[in-house]
Amino acid sequence: MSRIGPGALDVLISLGIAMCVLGALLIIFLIVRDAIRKQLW
Amino acid sequence: MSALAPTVLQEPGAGHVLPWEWGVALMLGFGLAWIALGVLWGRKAKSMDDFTVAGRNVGLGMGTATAAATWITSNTVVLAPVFALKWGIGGMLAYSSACLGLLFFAPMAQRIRKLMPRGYTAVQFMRMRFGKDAGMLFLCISLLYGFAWLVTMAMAGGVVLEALSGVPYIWGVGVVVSVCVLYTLFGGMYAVIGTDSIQSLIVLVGIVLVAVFVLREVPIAEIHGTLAERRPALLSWVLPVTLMAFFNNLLFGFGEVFHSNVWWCRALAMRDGVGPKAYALAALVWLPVPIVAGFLGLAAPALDVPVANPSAVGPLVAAHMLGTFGGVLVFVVVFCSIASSIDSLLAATSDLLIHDVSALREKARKPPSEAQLRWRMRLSIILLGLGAFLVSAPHWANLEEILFLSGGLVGSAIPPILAGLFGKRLNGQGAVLAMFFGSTVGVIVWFHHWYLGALVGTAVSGLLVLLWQRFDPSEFSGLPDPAQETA
Repeated sequence: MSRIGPGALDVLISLGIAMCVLGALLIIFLIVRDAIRKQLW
Repeated sequence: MSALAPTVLQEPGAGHVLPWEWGVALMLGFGLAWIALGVLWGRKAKSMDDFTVAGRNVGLGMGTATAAATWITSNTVVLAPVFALKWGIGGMLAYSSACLGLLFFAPMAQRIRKLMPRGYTAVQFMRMRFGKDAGMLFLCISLLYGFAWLVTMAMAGGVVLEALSGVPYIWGVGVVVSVCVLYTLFGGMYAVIGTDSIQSLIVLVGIVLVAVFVLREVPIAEIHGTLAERRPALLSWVLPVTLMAFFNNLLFGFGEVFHSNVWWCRALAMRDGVGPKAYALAALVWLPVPIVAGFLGLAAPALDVPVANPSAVGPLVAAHMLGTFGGVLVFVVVFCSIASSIDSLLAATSDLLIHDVSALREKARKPPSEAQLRWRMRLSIILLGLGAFLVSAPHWANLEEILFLSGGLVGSAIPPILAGLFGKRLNGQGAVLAMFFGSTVGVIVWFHHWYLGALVGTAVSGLLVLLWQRFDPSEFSGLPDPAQETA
């Protein structure tokens, strides 16, 4: 069946939230790193 | 992504999640902040290159943030919950497939930077690679699509902000467009990219906060149990309709990203070597946004949220669970997601107007000075904003259909762009023929099956490109220096 269980749903949503948090942290990290290296723009 | 753009909240009178005073205060607060930043960053723009392509020196951090923020439109945060409520897990995942447009643009970004390191627009490339006729046809497609996207975003701004806070539609459109026009006017590409960076963070943090607060109230197991009992189809991740949505989103997304100057001008603005990494990372940053936003739609049945208007399910769930705080969060997220797209469209479309429309007209005369170009750039931004406001004012019910109509048009541009960037055998006649017949057939098909327009337009154009390269091949030797054409 193509229906997903509660565990898979939990993983999907948790993964989505974690990726959003990591995405935000990645952007902050890259911007700070560029700023320190004077390569922001 | 912009497809399906204005299908947003349609019953603004039916219970706002915020008092209108809050809506006005938030709009003014964020609006003034963006304008102040635009003025501040605008001081860096000393030349035309600074104003239109941010000095061609944008780093990986700002590059990633601006690509992700521009692809997060109001629909990504408002329509993804609607997809989830209608089509369940499969709908959410189908929406996420739009990230592939950004991912596949990554190698193109490198190639664009290499082929025209001093270039400005996608149309300029098509004109120099395939000749004036192909450039004109591509310019028409780009302007139609760019303006339709701009208008649908302006309309989405008015409708969503009215539904959230009761601010009248026309005021919402006016404030959102005016704020974006002002900071783009003062700061050019520096302001667009700088505000995009902040807006991307606000959107990411905002949707995570809403999702986490909802999860604290209702565990996943309870949501799953309720869905299994009441709406079991929503737990399916493969439905025929979601497969259809997957391929439609995929191809429309490819067409949107590959042809649009919004993405080309960013590729040209990024430092050499940054583009591919920035677009690939932006695709990964964007990928989970429809899933987390879509989760709100999935949670609605379990939370017993009265969804009088399914188009408003995301904001309704946030407001139901978090009260005024949730309303503020959703308002800010939506405002930022709309602004990050409108400013990009204003900058990229005004680039087309001054570099491509004007350049064609004035080829025989003395080229305009840099001061004249900057003045025209600012005038173009104001006129585009004014045009978007006036066209949005009547609150068209079927404008999204026009954007879907452009699916066939932008789809037909994909094969000639790829053949022009990566191949040497396609000539101008073949490019014109492919775009013309691809667009025509795509539009005809759209009248009968709207969801097949992009697919058929791309297929017809691709077939013609392949045939033309085989039977009338040419040997392309390289682009001239774009700076000689416009500067």
